[in-house]
Amino acid sequence: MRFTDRDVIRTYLQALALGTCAMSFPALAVEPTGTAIEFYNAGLNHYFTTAYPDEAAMLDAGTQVRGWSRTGVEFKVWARAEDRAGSVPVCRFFGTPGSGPDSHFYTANAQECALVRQNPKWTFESIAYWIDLPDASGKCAADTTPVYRSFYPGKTVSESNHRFLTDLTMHQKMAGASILEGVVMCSPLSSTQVEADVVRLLEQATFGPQAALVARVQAVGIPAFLDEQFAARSSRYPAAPYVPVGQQATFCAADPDPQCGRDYYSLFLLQNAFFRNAIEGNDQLRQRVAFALSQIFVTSGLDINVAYGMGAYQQIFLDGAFGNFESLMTAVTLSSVMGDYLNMVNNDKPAGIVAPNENYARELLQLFTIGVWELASDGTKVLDAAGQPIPSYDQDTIEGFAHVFTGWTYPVLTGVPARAHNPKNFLGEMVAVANNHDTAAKGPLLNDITLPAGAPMQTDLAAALHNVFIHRNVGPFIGRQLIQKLVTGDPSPQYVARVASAFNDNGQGVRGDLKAVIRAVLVDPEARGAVKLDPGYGKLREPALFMAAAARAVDARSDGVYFGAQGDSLGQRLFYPASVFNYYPPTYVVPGTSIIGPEFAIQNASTAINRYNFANTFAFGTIAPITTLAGATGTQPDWSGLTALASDPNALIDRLDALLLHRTLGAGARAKILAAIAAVPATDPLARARTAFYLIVTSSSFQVER
Amino acid sequence: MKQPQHPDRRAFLRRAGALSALGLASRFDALGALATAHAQGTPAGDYKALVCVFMFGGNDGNNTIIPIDTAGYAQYAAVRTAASGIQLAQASLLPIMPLRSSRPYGLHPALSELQVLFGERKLAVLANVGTLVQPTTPAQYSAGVRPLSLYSHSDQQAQWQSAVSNAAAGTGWGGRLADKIQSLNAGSGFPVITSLDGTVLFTTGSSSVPLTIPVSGSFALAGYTGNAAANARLAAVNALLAEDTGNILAGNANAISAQALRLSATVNPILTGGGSAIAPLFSGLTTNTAKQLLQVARMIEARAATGARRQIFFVQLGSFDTHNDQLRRQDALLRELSPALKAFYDATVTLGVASQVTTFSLSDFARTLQPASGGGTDHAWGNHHFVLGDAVKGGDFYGEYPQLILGGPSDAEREGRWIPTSSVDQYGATLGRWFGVSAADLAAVFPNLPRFATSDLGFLA
Repeated sequence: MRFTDRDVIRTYLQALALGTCAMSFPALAVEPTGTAIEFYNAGLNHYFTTAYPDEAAMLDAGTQVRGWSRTGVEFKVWARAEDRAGSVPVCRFFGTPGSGPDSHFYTANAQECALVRQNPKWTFESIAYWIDLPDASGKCAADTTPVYRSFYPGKTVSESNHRFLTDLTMHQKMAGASILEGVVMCSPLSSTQVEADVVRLLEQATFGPQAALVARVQAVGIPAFLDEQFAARSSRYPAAPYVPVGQQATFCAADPDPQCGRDYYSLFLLQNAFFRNAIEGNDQLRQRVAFALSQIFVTSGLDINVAYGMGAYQQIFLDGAFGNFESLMTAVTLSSVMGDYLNMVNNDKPAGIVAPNENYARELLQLFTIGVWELASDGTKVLDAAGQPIPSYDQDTIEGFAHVFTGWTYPVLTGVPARAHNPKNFLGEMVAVANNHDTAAKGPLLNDITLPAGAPMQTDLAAALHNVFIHRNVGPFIGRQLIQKLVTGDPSPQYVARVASAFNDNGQGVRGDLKAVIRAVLVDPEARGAVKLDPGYGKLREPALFMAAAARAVDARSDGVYFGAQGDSLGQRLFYPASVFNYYPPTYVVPGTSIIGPEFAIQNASTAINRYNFANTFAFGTIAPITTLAGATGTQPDWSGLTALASDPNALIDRLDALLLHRTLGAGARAKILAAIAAVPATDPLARARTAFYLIVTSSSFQVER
Repeated sequence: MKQPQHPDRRAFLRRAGALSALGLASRFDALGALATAHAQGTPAGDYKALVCVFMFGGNDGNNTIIPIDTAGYAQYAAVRTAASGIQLAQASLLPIMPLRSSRPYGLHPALSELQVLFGERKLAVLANVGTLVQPTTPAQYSAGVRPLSLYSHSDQQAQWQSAVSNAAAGTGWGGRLADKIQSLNAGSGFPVITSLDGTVLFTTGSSSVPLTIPVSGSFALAGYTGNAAANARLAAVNALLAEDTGNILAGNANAISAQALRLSATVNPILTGGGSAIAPLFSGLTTNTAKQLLQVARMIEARAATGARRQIFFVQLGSFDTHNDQLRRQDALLRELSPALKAFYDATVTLGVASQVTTFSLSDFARTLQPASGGGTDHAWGNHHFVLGDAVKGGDFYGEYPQLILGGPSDAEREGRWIPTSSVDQYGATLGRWFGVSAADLAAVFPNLPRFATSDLGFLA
């Protein structure tokens, strides 16, 4: 009988259900006192974890026992019982030579330990370390992180092996060949790990960690910080005056602003505002989510190149970031900017040979809500009996929605009488013109629904949008993209499913609550944790996030002008995506891999060089205020914190490593940066600080956030 | 524990999901390795280039090339009525007479340069070409024989670029052609593909790695003044690029940067230096398309410096998704395209490579013959394309021009969405054969090619 027999597991789980007896001793250690280190042996295809430093050193040396190398996986433990009140001993076993597995096994469960001790195929070796147990529901206390156990049965007993991981992404990927046994222990977190996780949260939920914000999150905890962010007052885009589209020359000739073209007929002032708010604003999470949503519900300055229109459009996402998705869909649909961009505006009922315009109908379905394939709740494609994916709509569906979206025109322009087709105007939502609306029955919509003839056009619109909103694809389709934009480009189906579940029901029976979705994205175990070692985890920082995070790390003050101007050279001209397909697609597979890395679609040799050159100007140059903009301030990094450390290059790197890389800088990389700092005279601490900063922010460890 | 075994973290990474970060870096260096493997290449003067011009959004072929005989134009005008707001007047069209046709056609009025090139037999038209899973009849279409996600921009762009319409593809046919022919560039190690539009699917190969150059500006690191501190910093930049973090994405970021830094010394002088003989041909042309084609011409002009013998360039212009206001919008786009193509063609003549450079167009799809509300058109399918160069058997049409009848024999639906009569596979294979890729290799580049009657549409000598 193997210890993995279902009986044993059941017994184990029953024991858990009874609860563990909490004993209270004074805690003697503030920080975890031991580290379990994982090794891998390719020849054996076995993992092995040890918390004994001398054993780890022996494997590192590779002389006594060869073939084992570190995987990078580590978790904290208690070296002695007295280090932690309530900790339990962890029994370590080795397969009895000749009969048992050629492998080690650990258990923190007393009953399981006792059972395995009675099994002649296992030999008890020691109490390896002490650790916490999960509660009756399998949850770990807040100051610990779950340890997941998986069992690889192999073809023979000697091939079998257990693996212990704190990274849920990696644990899930063991499925298939291995049996996932779930949470078996709770590993204590060091203060360094807690800090690293906070920094990672700020990479995901803000435009970049700042020392003061790290301290704030550590003080109140992540859930309370998210509540603070949900409640923070929204930043706003500056209001720009109405200008007549397409009449720049005439209008600006008479306008007192010598920069009339730039200020009103381009998105310059909005780009400035975006970066100013991103770098200095308090509503960081709202801005991040708004930026993400604006890359799903895309419009572009290539067509909407007037500040008053695009400013109002972008404000929809700041206002709606934490609202309901159906309300957001409705606001976007009725937006005169979206109406203009995807031609729902002045889309009339069939007239002779002219058919209703299909543009908004198609992209609403394909890009904004459900995508082209039927999805399971975890975002994977549903397959038919022949193993083929199933289209979520067809051409007839598009035409059905195109007929619903008829009859809307621009809002009435002050001073111009209302008409069936009002002149172009983005001040407000589109208005209904019943006479241009198709009053026949309209369909098929999704799930073969047909709208009855003769309903008021507002009723038709609401019904059609609700038809889309309740489609089962929306949760996984939108949830997955929010994960991609905030956390990682190629999320696991399990992660998507958990977020989609929050979309489908926020816990109070409400569907589409974006606040619940965002919280689910950010507190998920696949988002949280101090270190992520899955080789496909993370994402390339897109240019806007790369620049803003660099600026925030040194507490820069900025009017935003410089950052807005960098977009073209970095491949992301803010608010001017090439098409409704955004700057980059959510499906982009990094060439030569099977990993989805959307932002890599806009990273290439040219933009790579320009990332270095951005960092060069930011770190070593002067970004002076431009003279043509009232109130311009330029951009001023605050180097004082780093300069103060420059006499100790290691301390300087430590500071940057903690704030920018959540302490993932490798020893090799550190040595190279140290050498470059050493080449700068100690008499020039500012140049040392700038050198270290430049090398860190241009390194792939920073470019790729994980 | 058993002993002894070999440490192998690579295996761990592979087990965990995919290529290691260092594996990617070596992918970017594949040509560097080839450069040492092949000392000498093919004879001097052996040079060919393909230039792909992608019209993103779906150019309306139905307003690009129109029959102008009485019956043909009447068919057109019966659907694209004057009232629809998208009719081109018969008299405004620029007449062309295909060599082997008895029917005159007219080009869109913005294409005056292309009209001249057609008359000079430098330009050919490939009519009604598109994404196909096999030769397709209307009945087969109705029975479900069709490309995946037909009428979707992203999917149809991908299929035009991959030449695979029945599955998702990870590589494009430009990239796969490059895979097959990159050994000819081994002497210099210069990439086969140079893109002016980043890494798109068309340029993505299995082993070849494309280069992206800027449309304007420099291609060099700033801030390296040569002092000791700067030199040490540059050394650190390069050393950091060789660090394996174990993360595939970080490895890919490193590989992209490393390629850029490796090629900067070759490419930057080409793009920023003076003395180009062909730059004056582009004077007065300020459009993005002209700027891209000027960069291409500069790279061809500098082929001795790059050492490239085979090159594929990717150039793009966008905003062809004319759902509304089409007459104005398409006119502006074609007015950008036509003179830029002419200047580029003239540059190849000046450089003496006009028969060695073939330029061709691609686009998402055509647009419905039926007008859509707002003076535009919706997503359709088979489209007309241009092929330009002295190797082209120009002044002629290839493929079959569709019948402009809603719901007629060419229509997949009821709105004038033409079922293509030639496939992207055939189009690409014809170009690939000319480029010097063997029949056996073409079969690998275009896996569905055997489904079609011919692998050569005949428009290249």
